[in-house]
Amino acid sequence: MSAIDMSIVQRAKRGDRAAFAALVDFYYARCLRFAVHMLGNSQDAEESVQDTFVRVHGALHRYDEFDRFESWLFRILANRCRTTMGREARRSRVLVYGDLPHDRGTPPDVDAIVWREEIQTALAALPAAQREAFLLRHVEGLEYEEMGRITGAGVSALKMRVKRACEFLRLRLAEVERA
Amino acid sequence: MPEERDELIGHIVDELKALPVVPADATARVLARVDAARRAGPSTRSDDDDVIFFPAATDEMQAQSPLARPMPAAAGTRRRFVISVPAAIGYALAATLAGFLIRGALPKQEATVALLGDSVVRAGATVRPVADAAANREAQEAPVAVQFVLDAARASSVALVGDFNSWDGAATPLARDSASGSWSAVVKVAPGRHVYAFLVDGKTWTLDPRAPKAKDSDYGTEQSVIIVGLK
Repeated sequence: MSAIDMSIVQRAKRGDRAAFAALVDFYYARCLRFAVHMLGNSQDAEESVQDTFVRVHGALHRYDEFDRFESWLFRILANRCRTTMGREARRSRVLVYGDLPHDRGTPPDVDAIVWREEIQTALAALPAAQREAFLLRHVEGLEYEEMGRITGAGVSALKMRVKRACEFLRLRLAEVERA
Repeated sequence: MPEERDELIGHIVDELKALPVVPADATARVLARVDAARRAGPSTRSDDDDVIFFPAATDEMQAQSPLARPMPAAAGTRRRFVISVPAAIGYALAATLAGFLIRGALPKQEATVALLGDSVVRAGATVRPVADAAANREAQEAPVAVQFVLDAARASSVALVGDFNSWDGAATPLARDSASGSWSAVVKVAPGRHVYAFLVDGKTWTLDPRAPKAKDSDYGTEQSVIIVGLK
């Protein structure tokens, strides 16, 4: 996905409501995808994303345009997800994924559903720091330097997290894929 | 370190890249919440207290630690990095002693505490609490009038932004005292920990030199801290 037109961000920063709405429209799906994969619960993910955009609106005047907007947005989103995970850890956790797209007009592909569920289960079993690094790197396609600004971790630590996440996923999912 | 993506990881990533269905009213709900936050005015919550960070000592750090990394072996010999229990205890005691010495050398700083009640207190001042206020719950929860002051004689405008006014740069302009050149505003703030800063000339983020500072976990910038309520 291409980056947002910075003039929209600048207009939103100046208080243009339509520009802010355009900004939300542009990033909402990506933010929701990240939050769903991080939290494993579509309701918590939706709440975290909503909260993220409210906070983005409140802090836009502090956004430094030398920083990439996407990095800034994901930093806030990642923190919201961590906060939610901290709260969730104190409650009994139910793994509920939902709303992942499939064509409702065609019969469900059972193998595809099983494959998707196995991935989600394996992803949920990863340590949160590794899951976050893996998603930012491979799903969101961010550079390690940007990931460092988002997570506060060093580049070598992030590379190690991604490497371990890949090893774990490979170990858990190789048999499933072969089957 | 080589990139860890192969065909299997590629398949996993392809699955994870599928974008979820966004509710049709998602943007409208964000805008409604933004409007509600504006209408609600000063916030009573501290946004930063609930941020959870991943633990610093992670497995990859252990893997990179000299204690965990095998030492290079000389020809024909096997060398291991070994630390004895007495030495470990000695290091721990030395670190504790150093901590006490450093702490003793630093000036003691008390948190900014505001009086409960109707009086106006100044942000950055260290003030003792009312002795019998603890018995009165209503008094504990009532907003406190706090005077925020910034000396900025050459500024053309100064605004107060903080978690208590949703970081709105237009919500709390400061008034200039022409005699002293300082800017001030009195704001009712709910008891609790709050973070704030001054926005000078609409663009320059300025901390309160009279108050302690803290780094904002979400946005990475420094902020001034005020604690309002009983000590």
